[in-house]
Amino acid sequence: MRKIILLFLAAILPACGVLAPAGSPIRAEDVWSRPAVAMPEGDTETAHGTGGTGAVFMTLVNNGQEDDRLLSAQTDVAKMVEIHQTTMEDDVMKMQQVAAIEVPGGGRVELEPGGYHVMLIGLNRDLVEGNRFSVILTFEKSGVLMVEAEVR
Amino acid sequence: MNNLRHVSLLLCLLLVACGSPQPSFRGNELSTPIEAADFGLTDQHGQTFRLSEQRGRVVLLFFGYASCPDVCPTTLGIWKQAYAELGDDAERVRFVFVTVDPERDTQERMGIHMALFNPNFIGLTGTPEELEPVYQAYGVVHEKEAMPDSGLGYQITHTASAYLIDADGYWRVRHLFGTPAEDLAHDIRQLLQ
Repeated sequence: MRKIILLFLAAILPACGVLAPAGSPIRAEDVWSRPAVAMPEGDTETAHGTGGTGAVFMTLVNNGQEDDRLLSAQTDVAKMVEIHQTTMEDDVMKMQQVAAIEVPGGGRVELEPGGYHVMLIGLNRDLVEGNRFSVILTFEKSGVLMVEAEVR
Repeated sequence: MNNLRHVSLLLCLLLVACGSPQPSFRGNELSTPIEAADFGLTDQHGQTFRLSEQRGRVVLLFFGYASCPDVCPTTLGIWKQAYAELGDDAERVRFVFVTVDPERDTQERMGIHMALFNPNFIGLTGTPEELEPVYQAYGVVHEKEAMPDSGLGYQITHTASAYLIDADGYWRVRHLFGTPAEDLAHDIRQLLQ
């Protein structure tokens, strides 16, 4: 019985290598965040009240040949995480939520001020210069990638 | 003897005329300086900040909001660096952040937000009635847009550049979003001379 189970696991587990598989083609470089203020206690509506939004920036590098897409992100430091894009038209800044960020095969994408960012909504702690926190990124093809953001 | 006098007089005049160089800016200089419209709004300490009371100081003005995760904190971060670069000169400069989101940006919130970057920065808020004429005077775009699918609730489309006002109360330079700190410090210094 044991042997069967072990064989079964040996067959299944490599195929399920979703959690940061050794061969993941996507890398995140220079992951950083802006200082931000936590949502005040007792605020039940996340950022609908006062305080509590932040942004995480990074460079996503796709060393694989297949195109991929960043679909979502999660972190302990915020209630909700969304992907947003800032667009500048002349002088005016506008922001909108996007479903995904394309990361072309063999290419790279910048998440930088004035462009794409991972938006943190409903921060449950202050983000102060020097702090570090983890963010889990989920990609369509290559699965999950855990990164560490530095506040600066 | 007379000739020499005339020549020296002429030379003196020439020197005076060529004396003060025109300031050169790295930001977008206005072709004609515009008298910056006066306003009185409430700062994070509950005091009224009046632009007309800032004569002798250079004012850097930006319109944004505290819930803005990207453009606004980036600008404030750059301002923080510019402040450091100015050293002692920073005393004669006022970094002013006016909210386009008076609903959420209370005095208290502005205080917390400014302190994240530099407590010497001035965060101004007011009633929509007090703020509207200021937005108009400075040509500030500010459009609230509902975002029903986002936890944010709404975002505000707004002008992202900063206004540099000289010590006589004239708007002289416009700095586009992303202008580096050293350029800001350079332009501010031009107006402090």
